[in-house]
Amino acid sequence: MKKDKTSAPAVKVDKKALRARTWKQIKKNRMVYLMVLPVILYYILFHYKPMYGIIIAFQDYSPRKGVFGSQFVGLKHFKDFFGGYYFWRLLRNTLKLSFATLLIGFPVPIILALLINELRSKKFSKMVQTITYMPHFVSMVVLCSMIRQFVGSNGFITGFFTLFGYDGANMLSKGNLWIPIYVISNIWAGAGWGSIVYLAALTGIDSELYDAAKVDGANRWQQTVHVTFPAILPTIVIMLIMRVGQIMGVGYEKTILLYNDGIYEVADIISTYVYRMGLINREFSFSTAVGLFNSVVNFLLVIIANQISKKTTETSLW
Amino acid sequence: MKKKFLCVATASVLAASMLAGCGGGDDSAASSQGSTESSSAATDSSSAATDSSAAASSDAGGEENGLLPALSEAEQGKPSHLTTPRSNYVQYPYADGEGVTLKFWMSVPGNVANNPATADSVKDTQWAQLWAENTGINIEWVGPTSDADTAFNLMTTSTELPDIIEWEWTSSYSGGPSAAESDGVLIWLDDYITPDGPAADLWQYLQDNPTLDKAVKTDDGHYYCFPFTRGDAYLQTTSGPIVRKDVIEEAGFSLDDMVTIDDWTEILTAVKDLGYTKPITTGSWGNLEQLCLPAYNVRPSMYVDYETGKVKYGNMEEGYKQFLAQMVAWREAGILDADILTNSNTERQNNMLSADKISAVTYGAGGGQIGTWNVSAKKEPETYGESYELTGVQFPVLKEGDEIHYAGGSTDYAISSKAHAVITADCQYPEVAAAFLNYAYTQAGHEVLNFGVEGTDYTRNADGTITYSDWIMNNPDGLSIAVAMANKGRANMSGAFVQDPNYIIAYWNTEAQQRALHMWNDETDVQMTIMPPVTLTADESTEYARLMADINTATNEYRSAVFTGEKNLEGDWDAYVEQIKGMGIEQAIALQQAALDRYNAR
Repeated sequence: MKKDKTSAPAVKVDKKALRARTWKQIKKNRMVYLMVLPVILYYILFHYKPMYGIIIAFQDYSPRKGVFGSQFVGLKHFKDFFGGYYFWRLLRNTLKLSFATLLIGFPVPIILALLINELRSKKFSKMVQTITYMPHFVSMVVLCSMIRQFVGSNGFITGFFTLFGYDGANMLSKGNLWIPIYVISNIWAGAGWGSIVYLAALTGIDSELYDAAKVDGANRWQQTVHVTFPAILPTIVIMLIMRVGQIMGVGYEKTILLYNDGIYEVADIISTYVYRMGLINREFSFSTAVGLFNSVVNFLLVIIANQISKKTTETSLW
Repeated sequence: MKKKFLCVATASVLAASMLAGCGGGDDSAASSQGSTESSSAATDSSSAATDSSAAASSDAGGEENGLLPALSEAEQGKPSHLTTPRSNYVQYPYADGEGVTLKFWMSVPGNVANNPATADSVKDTQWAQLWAENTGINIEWVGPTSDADTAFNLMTTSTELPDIIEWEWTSSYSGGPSAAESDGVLIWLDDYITPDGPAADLWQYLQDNPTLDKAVKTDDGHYYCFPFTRGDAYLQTTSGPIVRKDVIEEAGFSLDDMVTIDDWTEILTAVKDLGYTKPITTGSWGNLEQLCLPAYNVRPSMYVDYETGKVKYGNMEEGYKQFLAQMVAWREAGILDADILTNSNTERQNNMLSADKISAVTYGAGGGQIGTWNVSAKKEPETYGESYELTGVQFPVLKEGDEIHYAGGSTDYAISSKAHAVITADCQYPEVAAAFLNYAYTQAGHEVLNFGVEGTDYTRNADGTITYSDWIMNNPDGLSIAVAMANKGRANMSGAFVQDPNYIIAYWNTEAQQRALHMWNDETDVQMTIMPPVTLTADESTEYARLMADINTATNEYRSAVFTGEKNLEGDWDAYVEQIKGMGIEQAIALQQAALDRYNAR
């Protein structure tokens, strides 16, 4: 597939012949094209077509008047947001929560994968994997209501900490406990699933490398540091780049399901604000503008992270 | 290679999903503007009659003779009481309605959805069928059984609207009725609500009740809705403080001792000593405000001050601060449920109707709570105790002798109910739709839609009150009274009709309920302090919505943080007031004040 595209401009070929060859190629691989068609359609319909909706960030959008009937107001909504009372708080909370999840949450699946990899007993390692994957398959809504139960005023986690002098109030009503609850529950829910990628990468490591290391007298820790880790480093970097791209888009579902207005000071983030403004207050244009700002920052972050990674580790997305 | 592909694929998914904005807007240009400029003659003629209305509501309630008074003649002379519809101008079945099918959107009321036979839609209720049958107009009933706000938002953003929508348009549609009209959602009704139009009976009813006539128009004098009206002062406050009489007496007090906030503290401390873990509980923070805030002469959010008639924002008043201080004190003393911020009505019921000693006081309705829980408890005396008895008490006050001015709801135009019908701009037969809705305001239709069929579903007594049939009061299929009633008539629900007070007298037939009805309505004088259905202009409304979005976030955050102890009331109150002033609360109040002035000048 790739060949005829790249070679076409280089060599001067008869256009007719080229077209015929392309057709032949398509015909030959028609099943492959057929298979990819739904995916392309999916992207066009659900990811490219809706992009024109971004226009409403620059309008006073009224659904009944539609995209073409609404009044154009330029950057008004962006100005309102940046000048708004909550802008700095939202930005601060978003970044704080995101970096906390990144710093503490990102290494855990890697460590977990390394540990599972070291397990000798196949049976035990399968069991550990199954148990750690399990929370991933529980719906977010159910998961969050479980968390609410656990840390509520009658919850077992609250009960546990009261043994050490905690006052026993609902832990979600304490602003300073918000980030720990969020980050730790994130790890509980996602670490097992997140380790799959690294486990896959681990199985791809050539066992001869370990043999060579053993011959050189490396113990297990040294093998991990000098063989295993470098081998999965590209995977780690790629995952990190993609993770950086989500910094501004830290999961709103979980926040909405867990926070309450008593702890907005630390828990309210840009995406929950967008949700409240757009879907509850019906400020469609304003919330689109905020969402667009969020996406653009995310997009820039991915590019920057990718460039840095390209320079330093020679691993990159593109 | 594979890995690389995976990465690129994931990255592109990521990038695409980041940018995906709001999908599928609609392209339909604004629909026809309708008849905006035709101001009707009816509007002018009615304004002369409104003079007495402002002072009228101050002497609401007040009959003291034993049980509830018979309502008919004595009551109707009072300006604060609305009349019941008395005309039958429009002829039904409506001739032009033949072969027309209209789509009617309303959120399915809980009392309808709770009946297994009508769980999904109102279409199988008797009143819905009779309404269509008697008017000779086919109706397709649509609407959600839950989460009406989201459903409404989605519906109004879709390309084709149903013909009729029941909703509240002054506060629950951004921009109010005028914006809804210019957005192409609703049409003005000035051509229909006329002496000889298809809504002539509503016209007559509005002539008879000038306070209501004033409420259902915009500042420019356009009619836009078929209103939901609570037809009597006894329907203004149907929820209030309800208490376990047996528990209060067990603690050594009588219900008459529960007068001031300090009395409550004393009595409920005694209740706590009996082993009740959360003596006061409510289903939400809002309910707690409705329960105790009246004592501090404040309403939550925007309201009208009783003395000055000016708009105030309750959450920054000194009274609100005192209220918060008392609630924190109660929570710390273990009198008040500490989980109120996360409670729902489920927790309220579990706390109040429990085999364990949990709660003895809450905020609830005379029918849904006092009635239902008493019945449930009577059925299982071994679980809930032989003596279980709920009843209503009056709203607490600060000092003995204080009057209650800030509790309860509105009588005339039911501003908090999302139940005022409009005809949409997509309706092809607005005249037929108007005739259909007008039926509720005819004398005949009023009876049918409130109660059902006379003789079968209810009988009319000599004094004008009614008695419900045995099918409703002791349903053979085990339906609760409220649910059975909702199958026959709309009286115990909201909707575009005049709610008939006889329903509540026949329904709340136990002594506990009658007592509650008296306590909540006779002892209170509340109409003056409710913000009437004022309308903002489109620009004002956008500005107001933007201001209040931030302010509401701040006030909700502050009161929750104070309640849980995250913030200190004494230290942080001034900073909080400064904060919302910085957010423009004064401008928001000014917008409401201007709208109220315009309203009063109508």
